[in-house]
Amino acid sequence: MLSQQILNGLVTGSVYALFSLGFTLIFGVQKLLNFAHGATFMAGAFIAYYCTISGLPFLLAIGFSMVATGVIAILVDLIAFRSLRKRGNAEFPALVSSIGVDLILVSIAQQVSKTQVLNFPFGTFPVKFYTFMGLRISLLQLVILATVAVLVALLIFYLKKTTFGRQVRAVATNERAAALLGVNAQSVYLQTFFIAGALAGLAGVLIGLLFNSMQFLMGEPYMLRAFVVVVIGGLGSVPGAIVASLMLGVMQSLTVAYLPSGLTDAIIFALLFVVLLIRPNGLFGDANAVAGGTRQ
Amino acid sequence: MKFLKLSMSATAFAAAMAASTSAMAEEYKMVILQSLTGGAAFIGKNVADGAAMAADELNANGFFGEGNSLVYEVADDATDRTQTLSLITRLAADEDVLIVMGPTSGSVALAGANVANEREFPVITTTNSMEVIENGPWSFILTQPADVTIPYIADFTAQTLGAKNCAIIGVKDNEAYVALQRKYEDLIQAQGVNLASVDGVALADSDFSALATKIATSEQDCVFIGTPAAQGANLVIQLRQAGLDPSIPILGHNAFASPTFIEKGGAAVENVYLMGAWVPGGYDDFSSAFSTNFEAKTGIPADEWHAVGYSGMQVIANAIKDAVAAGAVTREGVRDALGTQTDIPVVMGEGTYSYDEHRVPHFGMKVLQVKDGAFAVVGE
Repeated sequence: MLSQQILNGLVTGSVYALFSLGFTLIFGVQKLLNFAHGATFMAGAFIAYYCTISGLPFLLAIGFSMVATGVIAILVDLIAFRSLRKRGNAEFPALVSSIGVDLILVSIAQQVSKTQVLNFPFGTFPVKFYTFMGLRISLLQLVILATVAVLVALLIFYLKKTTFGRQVRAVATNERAAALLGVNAQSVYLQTFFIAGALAGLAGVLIGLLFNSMQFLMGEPYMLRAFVVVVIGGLGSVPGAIVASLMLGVMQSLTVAYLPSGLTDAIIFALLFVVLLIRPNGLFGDANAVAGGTRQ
Repeated sequence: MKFLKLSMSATAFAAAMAASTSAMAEEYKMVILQSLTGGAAFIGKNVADGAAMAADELNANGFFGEGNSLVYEVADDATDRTQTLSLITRLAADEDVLIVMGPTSGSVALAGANVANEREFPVITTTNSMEVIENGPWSFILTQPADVTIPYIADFTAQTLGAKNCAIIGVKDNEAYVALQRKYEDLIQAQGVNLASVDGVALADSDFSALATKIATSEQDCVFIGTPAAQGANLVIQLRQAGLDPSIPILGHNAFASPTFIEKGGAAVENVYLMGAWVPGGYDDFSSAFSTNFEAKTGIPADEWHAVGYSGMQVIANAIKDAVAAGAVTREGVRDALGTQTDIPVVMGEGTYSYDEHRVPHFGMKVLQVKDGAFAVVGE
């Protein structure tokens, strides 16, 4: 059972990674906690669901959902963050503002879904299981692991090896200096939000598929865990978010399997406190870590 | 000209008569206070929808007599104690409000009961918690406590299925569900069934992969799931996917008695046992008509909580009508009438709803099984 549980945890953790990367990216670039990220995740699942039941091919529905959640995230930036950012000292007001956006999106989703739990129609994704060295793994789990691995690799490449990535790191390090060098910070913010939203949307679809359940509050537990991931991984650290997500997924599986029921969250948050005591900046973070750069 | 004058006189007379009739018409005001948002919205929203439909039907059928009507407002307790206390305090100050149907569940309902008893204001909460009744004479419960319902499925587990070692999965963050689960555990243990494992999930959880693997690779001869219908269906699917032996019976309580359970679970929930006060689709003329009308009105099939709301409103309406007949259309009159309601036709259980001398509701249960994609009463 141990290896099966570790596999289960890695699959769940990989989706946490997708969710948390967007969250940590926004924090890394803007130093803002985007509480609407959970609602964007939920919106991704809902949009893909309604596209699918409207007859759109599933792959197109996923693509549309990612674009739509990217746009939603941009709107979040324009509505909830941009004006506050201009004023400076935006951390706390932006936090409250993003909570407001989250509540609005959740309320809309509740109305649209009539408070019902939604699930993709049977047959949306082939239900196939393989047994390998005693491990039972589904085709969906394999696809999720592969998809997340490819997307994470692409994101890292994008941030480290492209002009946009250098601009992101420049803005994250020092917005004013980047602007003096000709970087359009507003454009960087918008692109960052789009990527974060699209990743959250995809994570929502994958979770909806994997666990056969989507409801208007589905973002809340993931939001809470994303906090743990970014703190343990190191605020703003992309590699940290990935490692912490996988750790969290595996730990969650193992605590459910081997410890008394109900201890999972207590253990996860106890780990958070231990990490904070030993490494206050997280496993991969330093005091100035920002999305692959170092804030000056 | 003469014709015009005659017409005007007739119109004036008709208007005067209408005004006179409306002056005599009585309006009985109540508030449906349920969790329309927050964690218990899956219960409260459905209860509110069922209750509102019942009130509309009763008014349309002239239940309170010609021209009289039940006037209701729908309010949201938001699954939040502070909001609930604030709302009940405000409603208690409005002398026209005779009774509140709500709050929905758990600590929110208990908090609501506290303030209702302080203000001598009748509330009928959706919860099945006996603590609400014990809180004082002004607070009632709408659903049957675990002592009344769980024996139906516990006896079935131990006596009919002959289970010896049962894995339990419950909801850990909703008091009503926890109470049902614990009662089930106590009752089957008292009949010699061992608890192979006891696990809790949160209402918002959907990832049960680790739990499903744990149970599928453990030894037990039955699995009891005490969660809402959609979540339960999801759990059953994940248990099957994790490789749970198909010959091991899976059981659930009354929350599974919802079309949602079959719709979400598909083939995976085939053969699952459950108990239900509500038989989806209905089982007699009254409940079948409710099922048909509800789906026609809302576009979604009625589930247990819709039926609870619909039935609860029948009970409240009868209590108000009795208070009117007794010449006591006051909060106290409605409270006294509510506690003495017996054999009120409802769409749940055995078809009639009664409060006993301790104000505990009774309407019965049935053991059901999913067969060929539908609910079938076991033994019929």
